Amino acid sequence: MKLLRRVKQNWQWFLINLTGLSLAVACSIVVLLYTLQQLSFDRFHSRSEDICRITMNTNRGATSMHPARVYGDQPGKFLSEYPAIERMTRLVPFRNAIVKIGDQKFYSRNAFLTDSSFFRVFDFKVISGNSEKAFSRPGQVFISRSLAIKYFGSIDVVGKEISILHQQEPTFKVFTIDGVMEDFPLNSHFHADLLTSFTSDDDLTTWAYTYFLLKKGTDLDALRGTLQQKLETDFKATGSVPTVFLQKLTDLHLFSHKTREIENNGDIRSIILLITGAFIILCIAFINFFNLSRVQFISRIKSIKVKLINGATRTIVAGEIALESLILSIFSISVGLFISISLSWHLSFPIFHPDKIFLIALMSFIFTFFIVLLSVLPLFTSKIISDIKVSSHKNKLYVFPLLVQFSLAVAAIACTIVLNRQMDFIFKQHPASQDENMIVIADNPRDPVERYEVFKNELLKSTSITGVTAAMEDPGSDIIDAVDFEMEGIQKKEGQSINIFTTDSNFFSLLGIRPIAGTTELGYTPSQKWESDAIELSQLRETKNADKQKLADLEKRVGGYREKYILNQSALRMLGIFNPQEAIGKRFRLNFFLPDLFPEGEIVGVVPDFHYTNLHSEEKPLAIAPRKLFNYCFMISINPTQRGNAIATIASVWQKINPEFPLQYEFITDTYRKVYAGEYAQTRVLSLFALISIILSALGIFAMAAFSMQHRVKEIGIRKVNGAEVFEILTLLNKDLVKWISIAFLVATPAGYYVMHKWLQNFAYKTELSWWIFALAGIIALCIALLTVSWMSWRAATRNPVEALRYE
Amino acid sequence: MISLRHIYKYYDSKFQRTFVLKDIDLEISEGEFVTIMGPSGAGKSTLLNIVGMLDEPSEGEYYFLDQPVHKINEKKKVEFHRNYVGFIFQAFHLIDELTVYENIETPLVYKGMKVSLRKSVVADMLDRFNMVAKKDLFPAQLSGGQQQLVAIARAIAGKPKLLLADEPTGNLHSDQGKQIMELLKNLNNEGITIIQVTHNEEFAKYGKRIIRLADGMTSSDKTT
Repeated sequence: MKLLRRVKQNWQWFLINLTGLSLAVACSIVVLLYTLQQLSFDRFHSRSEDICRITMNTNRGATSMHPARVYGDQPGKFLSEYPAIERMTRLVPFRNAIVKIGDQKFYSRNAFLTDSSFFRVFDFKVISGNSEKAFSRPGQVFISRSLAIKYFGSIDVVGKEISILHQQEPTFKVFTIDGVMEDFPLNSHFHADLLTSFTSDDDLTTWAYTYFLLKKGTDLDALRGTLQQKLETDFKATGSVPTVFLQKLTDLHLFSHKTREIENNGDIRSIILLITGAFIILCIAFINFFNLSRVQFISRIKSIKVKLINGATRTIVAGEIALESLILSIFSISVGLFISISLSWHLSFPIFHPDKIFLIALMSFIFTFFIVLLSVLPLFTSKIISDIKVSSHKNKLYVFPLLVQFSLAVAAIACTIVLNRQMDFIFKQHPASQDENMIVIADNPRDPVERYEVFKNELLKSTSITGVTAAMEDPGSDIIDAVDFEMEGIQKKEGQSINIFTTDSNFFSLLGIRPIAGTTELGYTPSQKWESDAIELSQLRETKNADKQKLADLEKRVGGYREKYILNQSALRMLGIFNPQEAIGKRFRLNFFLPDLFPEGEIVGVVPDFHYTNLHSEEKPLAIAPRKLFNYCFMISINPTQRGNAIATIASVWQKINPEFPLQYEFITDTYRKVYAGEYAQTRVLSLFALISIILSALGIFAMAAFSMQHRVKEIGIRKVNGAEVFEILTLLNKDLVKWISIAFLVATPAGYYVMHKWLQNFAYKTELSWWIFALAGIIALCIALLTVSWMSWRAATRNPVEALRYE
Repeated sequence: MISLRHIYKYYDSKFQRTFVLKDIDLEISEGEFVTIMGPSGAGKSTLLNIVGMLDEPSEGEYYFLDQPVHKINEKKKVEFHRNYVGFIFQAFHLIDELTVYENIETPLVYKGMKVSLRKSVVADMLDRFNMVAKKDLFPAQLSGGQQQLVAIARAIAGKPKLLLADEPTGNLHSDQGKQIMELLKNLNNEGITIIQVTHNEEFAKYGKRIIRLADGMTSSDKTT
């Protein structure tokens, strides 16, 4: 009863504390559970500690690559030669596969070819079928439970047939369902829906995610050293020896950021940022609570003393205070839990598991303990109370906690500004990233790619379509294919290669990329018919006893075209050319394995590093040639006045030309955004955290200001009676605040600078960390604080002094 | 009941020692009504606080009911506060956030009295001071005289042997003051030992013994 009355009397304090603490609880719980979930990745395999993934860095200078997959039979050789490697299993992706079940067709990025050892390396649950014999003969497929339910309506599907088309292959392969697997847990770094046995010997040496199961207790570094030595001897002849890496399975999700990861991985840095953010909010909330309970304590000193005189002991008084904060803390935990549960439910992110209840209870207990401790701390540390007589007393507020709080808030604001600026910067670097009228049909299967010209011509008949182009890679992805080359006047280093990027001839003009030398207007470029002739010619040259007549015929048709190459600035840098004009007109050739497909020609243009690719890594040196057969990504520019019409046109033309494939399109803005989905989520969450911390700091300072006004009413009254003006009083009251915030600014700037400097290292291209960002953050914090305090002090300063002095 | 021997109270600053009380010897027996008078700064309140065990003498011995207060611990002092001593102050010192009823109840709660017994004791007090109708009001809703009545009710609710009153009428006008003094007199007649500090000559006469202090020393000690 008395307790309830206290809460009611002090509802402002109670509400401020409740807001702060429950937000802090919610943030902490979400971050804690999320962190645990992220750390639990791939640990559900019984031998997860013994599994590693092998990757290799090609070590080829500027065109080096270090993808998550490996190519060739090297891992197989390792397996047979080193007994420390118990088993090996490979996953060869069907890439953007087309799956055909009955007459239903859909795209899947979760189809893989794999070895018979798969279920003996990984412990994924098999619901039906024999996992022992899985993938031992060709044509077998295991499908996931959800896929079975979705397309067959039951999990009783063993013996049924599924056809899968690899993105870059011409024909469907038919598989018989051999078993059903439980859906892979959320905390697995890959989620296969379809696993098939290998279909040809080629599959055994192509690009594959390759995992080793090692003998228990194998020293990973030592094994890596041995494997590396083996590579040194094997590759001595070829000039560049690749470097081999063994990544622990349990490290993949948080620590691996290679090109072509099997799925988008998490990032330990974002987890650290999140933890920091939650910790800051927790600190601010605790500081608010500490300040407020001190303030409350001060305003209660009289009644505490009276209680002591009336026979209370200090323990009893402490008990009364503790009970109040206990109630506050129970409320905060309940509200915080509610917020975090509804948040995780809203984001459909299941981080609440029954097995986490104990942990949450423990954290709640610790939280409550600290709250209670902080609330009674002033009682036991205050000197005022040891002098039991009821008398007037002066009390100084603790400035230090406020200082810490404001430093944190300033740092949080600065970090948020930097984060948002960097994301904005990155986004704007990409060509056509803000073009709302650019549609992307990404990752097309082979057949639509071969019908590109027909598709394009058909589309251009409509006035709603203003342009169609195509490129080898999707916007924001990576270019990794590199080939040998020759260039007039360039002495190549041994093994030096250049990355190859093919586009339709209008790629640069449609994406608004201007050349820095020469031209990107290529005039005549060969058709797809020419391309297939060129391939046939190259293949015919290799065959013995080729048909001479046909050969001459093809040579006549293919020859005579001189290639029009475009280089980017990074390529010039690699070649040591400083003046782009010098490169124009130079003879150039890519030594592709089909020599006629990229004939000799000239460099006709130099383009800047146009940032079509992912900006986490540096721009690669590119040789760009107008070819169509590798252009898996189509881009369509639509007429902004006829958007609806344009989309209908695209759909109908697609249906007409590629009836056997579903159409999947998106706007280029979304394509780029997807690449940075992780960073965007990070930025959003951290902006939210920063906002919370600012609001909490403002609440805190508001409460403190209210308190100090209360206690200075008399002083203000006396000053006014003696002729002070409102403005002078405002200055007096705000002077301290400006001082604190200046100090907070000085503390926060280097800390924020350091953190953001680290974060920006994730990117090859970054914004500057200008001084004004920190100045702005300081000014924002100052404004918020001044507004809060001025509002309070304005009320105090404009009061009639008679009122203030009446009772004294 | 109270025996002070060679009580000194002083504050040391860097170069000098400021005496508040100098060599006070005082014997007060049960049932007395003592008034302490003297000019501002004479040490009246300090003396009262020492007697009430809210303050400690710098030197000297103090026996309360034959127990050496200068030697006993905090816990024992709380015992004394709970069972033997009641206080009244010039500024009333009620607990603002508690009602009249709860204020009176406070010492009984800390004494560990049972709820039913507590109820009857508080009811008695309210009855005695004619405050039954006001029991659910807060101190701020009462006049000064009424607040002091509540304070007295609270001070004697625990049936103390000793009641210490530090200028109990200082904040009241004379009619109210008289009323309070009559009340104290009655309480004394019932057997409670009372020590009061006052400036008011008229109210001082309610005491059976008047001690005058000057510069921390006893200047006269008369029984009327």
